Amino acid sequence: MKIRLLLLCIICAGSTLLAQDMGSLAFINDLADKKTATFGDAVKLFVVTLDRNSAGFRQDLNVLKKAGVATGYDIKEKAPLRKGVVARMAARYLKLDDSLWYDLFGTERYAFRACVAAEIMIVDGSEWDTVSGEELIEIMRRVGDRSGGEQ
Amino acid sequence: MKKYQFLAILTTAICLFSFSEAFARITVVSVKGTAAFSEGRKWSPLQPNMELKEGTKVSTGVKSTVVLKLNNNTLTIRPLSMLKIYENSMNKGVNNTKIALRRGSVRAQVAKGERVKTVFKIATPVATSSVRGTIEDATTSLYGTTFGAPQGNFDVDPNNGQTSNISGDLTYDQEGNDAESGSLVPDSTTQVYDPNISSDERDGMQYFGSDSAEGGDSTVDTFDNLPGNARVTIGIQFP
Repeated sequence: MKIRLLLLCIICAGSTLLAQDMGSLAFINDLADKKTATFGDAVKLFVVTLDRNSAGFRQDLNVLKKAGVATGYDIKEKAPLRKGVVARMAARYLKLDDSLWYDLFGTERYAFRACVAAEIMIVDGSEWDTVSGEELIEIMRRVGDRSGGEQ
Repeated sequence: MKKYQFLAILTTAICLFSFSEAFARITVVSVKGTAAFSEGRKWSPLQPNMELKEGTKVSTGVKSTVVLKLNNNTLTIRPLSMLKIYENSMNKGVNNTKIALRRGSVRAQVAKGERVKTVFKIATPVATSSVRGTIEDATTSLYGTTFGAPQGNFDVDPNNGQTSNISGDLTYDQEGNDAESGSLVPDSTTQVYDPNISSDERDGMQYFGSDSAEGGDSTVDTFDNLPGNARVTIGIQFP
């Protein structure tokens, strides 16, 4: 009896481990409807792209800082996301090295231009403009494509 | 004797029914990573070997891919994509499949049937194309729409009427949302369609629902309310 209960517990635990991360998918689908994405949205998406599970904004941000993606950023979770911020995070994640000015200065301005040159983003506005949820998803899709992101 | 006749008729009927059902099936061949489907307002995990219905939305997550079998055709849904299968039927010798690509990227491998006319359409926000037995890549987002033909060729007919034939290394790219190609009045009760938009494009406009689990379907949704929408319908038709 005890063995059967133990086996049942193992099966139940295994099924939860094998379960898909529906939370992240629900987050992505809700994000697509947002007029303005937040810094927290970008942090979460980058963490998932790094094959890590999201564990809250603070922990996610620490993960990205350790990975060198969000180094130097102490922006609030709900702050509107700017194109320069996501461009810099994308450029760091992809280790873009095709842009001389970005290589030299590493600023958001040149990160945005480097991302445009790499066809991660488009020339539409400036690095100071905010990013919509749909645009953030498209940027992350292109980041995934460039990094060979299919499983 | 009558009993055997009845059994024979019943068996034949079951076989015919199964045969027709097989042709109109939407089957999930494989799921890599995280993917979900929605037949209404709720998203549920997508699993291999599931059978989907017409009107089902499919969404893929980060680094996730889904392969669907629609009749004899294969549709690969790439990461961070969402689409709706609004028709998959087999009627009077015509194999009819219509997909509405909300965002992301798909690859369609359309089989050219010798005895069956195949109509395979992918509606996206930019242009219309007709395909003849080919592999087709379609990508759409607010940044624009791209079509490529890794194998075979197809025609793209944007709303400005300039038809382009796409094959080999050529791709069709349309940036952004062309306000001149078709416009919708951002009004919850009224939609105005460009007179040059085909009936398939009009149908495509009706099939994009809200991405959120709470949004469900609506005749005018957030996608339709994006300014300056232009529509693309890729039609694959075999004579």
